[in-house]
Amino acid sequence: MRWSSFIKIAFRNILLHRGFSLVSLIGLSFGIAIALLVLAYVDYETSYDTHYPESEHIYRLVSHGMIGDDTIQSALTPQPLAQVASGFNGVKASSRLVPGTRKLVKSNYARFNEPYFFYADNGFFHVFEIPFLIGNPTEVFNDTNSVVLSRSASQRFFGTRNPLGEELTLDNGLVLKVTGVYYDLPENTHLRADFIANWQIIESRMEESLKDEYPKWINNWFALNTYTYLRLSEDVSIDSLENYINTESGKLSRIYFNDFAVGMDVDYEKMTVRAKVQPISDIHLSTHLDHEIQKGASSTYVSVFAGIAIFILVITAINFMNLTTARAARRFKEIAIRKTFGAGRRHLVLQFFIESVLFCFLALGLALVFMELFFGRFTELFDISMGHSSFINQISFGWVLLITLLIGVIAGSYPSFFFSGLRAEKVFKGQMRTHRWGIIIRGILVAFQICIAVALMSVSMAMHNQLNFLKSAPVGYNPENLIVIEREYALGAQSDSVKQLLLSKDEIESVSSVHFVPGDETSIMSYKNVSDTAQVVLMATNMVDAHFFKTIGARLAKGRWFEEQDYADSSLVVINESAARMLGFNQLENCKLELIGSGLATEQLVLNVIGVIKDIHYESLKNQVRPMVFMQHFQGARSEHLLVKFKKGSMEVGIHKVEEVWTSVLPEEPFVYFNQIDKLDELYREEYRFARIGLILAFIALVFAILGLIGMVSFVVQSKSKNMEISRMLSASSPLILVGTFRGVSGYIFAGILSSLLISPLVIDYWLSGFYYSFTPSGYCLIIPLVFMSIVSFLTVYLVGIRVFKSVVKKSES
Amino acid sequence: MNNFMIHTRNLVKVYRNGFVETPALSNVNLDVGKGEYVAVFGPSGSGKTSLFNILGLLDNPTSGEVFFMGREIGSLPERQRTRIRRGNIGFVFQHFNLVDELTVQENIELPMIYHNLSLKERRYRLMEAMERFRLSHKRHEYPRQLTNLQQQTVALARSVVFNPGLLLADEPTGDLDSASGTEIMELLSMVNEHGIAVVLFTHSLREAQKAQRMVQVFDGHIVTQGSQGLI
Ligand SMILES: Nc1ncnc2c1ncn2[C@@H]1O[C@H](COP(=O)(O)OP(=O)(O)OP(=O)(O)O)[C@@H](O)[C@H]1O
Ligand SMILES: [Mg+2]
Repeated sequence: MRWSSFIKIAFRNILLHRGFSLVSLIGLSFGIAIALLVLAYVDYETSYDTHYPESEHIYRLVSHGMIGDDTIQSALTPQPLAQVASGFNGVKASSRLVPGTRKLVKSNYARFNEPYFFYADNGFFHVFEIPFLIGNPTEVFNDTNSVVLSRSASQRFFGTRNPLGEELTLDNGLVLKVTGVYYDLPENTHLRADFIANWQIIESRMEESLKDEYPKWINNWFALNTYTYLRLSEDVSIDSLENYINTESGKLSRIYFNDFAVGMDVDYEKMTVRAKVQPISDIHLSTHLDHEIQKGASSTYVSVFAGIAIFILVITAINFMNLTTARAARRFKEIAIRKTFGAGRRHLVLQFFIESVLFCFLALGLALVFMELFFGRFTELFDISMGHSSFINQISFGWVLLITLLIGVIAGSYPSFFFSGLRAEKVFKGQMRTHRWGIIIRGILVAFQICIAVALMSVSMAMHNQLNFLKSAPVGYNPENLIVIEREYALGAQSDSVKQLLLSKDEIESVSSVHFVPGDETSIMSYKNVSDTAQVVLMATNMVDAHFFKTIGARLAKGRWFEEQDYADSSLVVINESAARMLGFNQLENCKLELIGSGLATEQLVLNVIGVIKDIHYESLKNQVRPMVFMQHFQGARSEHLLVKFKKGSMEVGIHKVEEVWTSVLPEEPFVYFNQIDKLDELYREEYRFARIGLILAFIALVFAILGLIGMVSFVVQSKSKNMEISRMLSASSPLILVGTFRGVSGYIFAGILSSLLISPLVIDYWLSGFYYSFTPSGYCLIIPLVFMSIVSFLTVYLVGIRVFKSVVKKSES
Repeated sequence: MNNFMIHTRNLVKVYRNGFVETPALSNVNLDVGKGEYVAVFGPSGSGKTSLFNILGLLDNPTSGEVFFMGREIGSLPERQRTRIRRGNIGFVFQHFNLVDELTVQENIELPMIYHNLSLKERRYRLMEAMERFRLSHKRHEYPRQLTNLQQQTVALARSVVFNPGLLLADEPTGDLDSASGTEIMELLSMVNEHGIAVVLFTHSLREAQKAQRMVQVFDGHIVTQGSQGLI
């Protein structure tokens, strides 16, 4: 049939115009490759937590509400909630889950820092029916001290040995026995668990240590400290489940309050935290609660990515269309002949569609090769946590074919439209003039591409400005020459002597124990101003020692910092300025705070504020500084980090000395540290990502805009040379043609550049509105890309114009 | 009237370019019978090509009527003209107008692509045409590998391969040396003997005389009409 003849001619054309075909093929396959990579990533992000068996029936309970005047939106729930929920008819299984040690885990063969360690109930394996490699999920938690682990964790710790019955020793002293191994969970889950230990061991441990206080702990309705998961049967009404849970838990928390919190000056009515039921597939993108196991991705970010994919596809298709049309202009004669001999509009459309779709599939083949080659580059560039295997799983062949087909159809549509109005008899007479519309449409496309390129340049410049601003903005302390050593508690009783040893080194300026360093997620507690009974204030709470102030380089606003002799009096605290403002402390006389709802405190805890320090940015500058309370370490309390401040210029040598000291004292324990400055960068990871994407896109858009310009200029020069019928006197009129070309093209260039001035300020403003602290973007962010694009455009027009013009002269002379 | 292949009444063609109007044909009345061989003869600029385009349904007249196999087609839109043209009219041009990217065989096959012919039928006609015009040995060559005569022969084969009722030839010998021109003229006669009506547009009286009937055009008017003997 005619299909075969069209396919044949398509291939013939590709081969006959090899150079041209190669350029368009590479451009097209590059565009397809990037778009597919991005789409695969978008798909990866949007299919989080959908891989579990019957994942649509798995839900999580979360907490929403108010404590005093503060809004609570937490992924954590009170511990007894799972028990209450399981009383509802449609709840098939429920489980509590808490993250365990995120630190050192040892087996007889290996030791690693393991960030993905959890404790869960038996019910966990009924909620998440994850497939087991070894062991039976219903029996693995028969013993209190059992633990199951993922296949890769098992390989890490036991190699090829059979892990069943082997022991794992945790940082907190627990010894657990391996009773099962499950297949690795998919990468795109919010619950990346490498170890799941039996919850029972926590309870028995607490029972041992708390003794009489145990019921108060186990029934605590006022601490949000546990993740709660449910498996529901199909026909459950979420509303009635929520109602049931909240009614029941309301009763129980009332009882708990009466039993344990009487005498505490707390208004029960002001605590209105309610449980909400959330499908687990919503966790990653839709809800951004506090205390997530793993930080979700912003859905804006993912939509931006989806937008990018579409943008790249459109730009690629436009560019391809441009090139196809440019080539098609050389095929007037062929089209005219076909028309004369009876080719109708639909035949021509079909022919062009077949040609461009076929070409697209060739490009797809090449694109797949590109994707394989650039996958690592891509994930690195965009800072994406997607392994190669998930990526392969993510690519759905149907989609790929559909997209390729779509580009082919888009790209083929313009030439078809272009040619259907072609008059055969005029072509034969040599009267075929270039379509004015052809130039206008191309012009608009070029203007669009230029606009996008300039806007992206402006936006990414503004982003980089803002990030530089953030990096150099005062954070309230001095992060330079400062390292943070993890697991200070491993030093145990030797902590003090190690600190002394460190201080004796020349390179080290000061040393301090601290629970949270800037960049950590702090724990939030409720306080009251003693002289103002009504107001409850949520404040970040940190445990520090007397040297923290000097080590981190904070500044004092009022009063004083702790001295070593203050250790005896645990009621002394220092707050930051934001806290002072919030609490209404204008001077330091008689500033007393009360800590509320600390489940374990038997008497009410009144704290005396001895000083106010200037705000330290613990979070990114996107957020306002939180009010913070600094307490002293209780004697013997576990401290997470050891801060070491070096003298200027001696950090490198200093770190070696610190490591020597550490390994001499604790030869068994790994020395793990990070640089505080790097931690700061970590806070802006997503912003850096955006800025990088902006830059890459600006580059892509720039390349495509230049390609578009090249196509258009050669088109205009050719048609001008023909129209003026100057083949004989070309040399005389050469400047004339170039001037004419400039005039024809410059309007579109300026239209593109100027319209970007309307877009970029809006985008920049929108982006900056996400920051609590931001700079005022300077006009340079707009002017520099504008000037740059003007120069590049006119250089392109000039160079291409001259070249094409010369080739036209040559042709007419021969 | 139904015996006419094509038949025009008071045909007028005026080209408009901006404000300039160029009359090309005025009051042309021309009949071409089925299987007839007519030569339209006239000097350069007399309106031959304009008439060729209209008779070939490539262009519409400014006014007047054109009947093709009894059907008025002068004011039909392009889509319908294409449909009527398909399979009914063959074209030969001065500059051959072969598709450079196609081989001899593919060029000859081209009109049949747009025709609902079975593969077998297409094959058969293709073979037959290549035999008849003695092109079989050149079937896989491209136009640029052929002499002018061979190219025009291919063009002629392409125009009759689908067995149209009418063949229009606009100065088919214009790009050929005289020996080759003679050969093409012979082929045209052969085509006509196979029952295809032929309208030859030429400025050469010698060529025009090969036709059954001559029509002389001058400045867009038909000056004489009649059998050869009258001139
Ligand atoms: N598209 C057009 N626009 C304007 N005028 C035209 C157009 N086509 C033809 N003409 C004019 O119409 C008249 C008839 O031209 P036509 O091409 O039909 O003559 P011709 O007999 O074929 O001449 P030739 O022997 O040069 O091919 C001429 O004056 C020509 O200049
Ligand atoms: Mg002519």
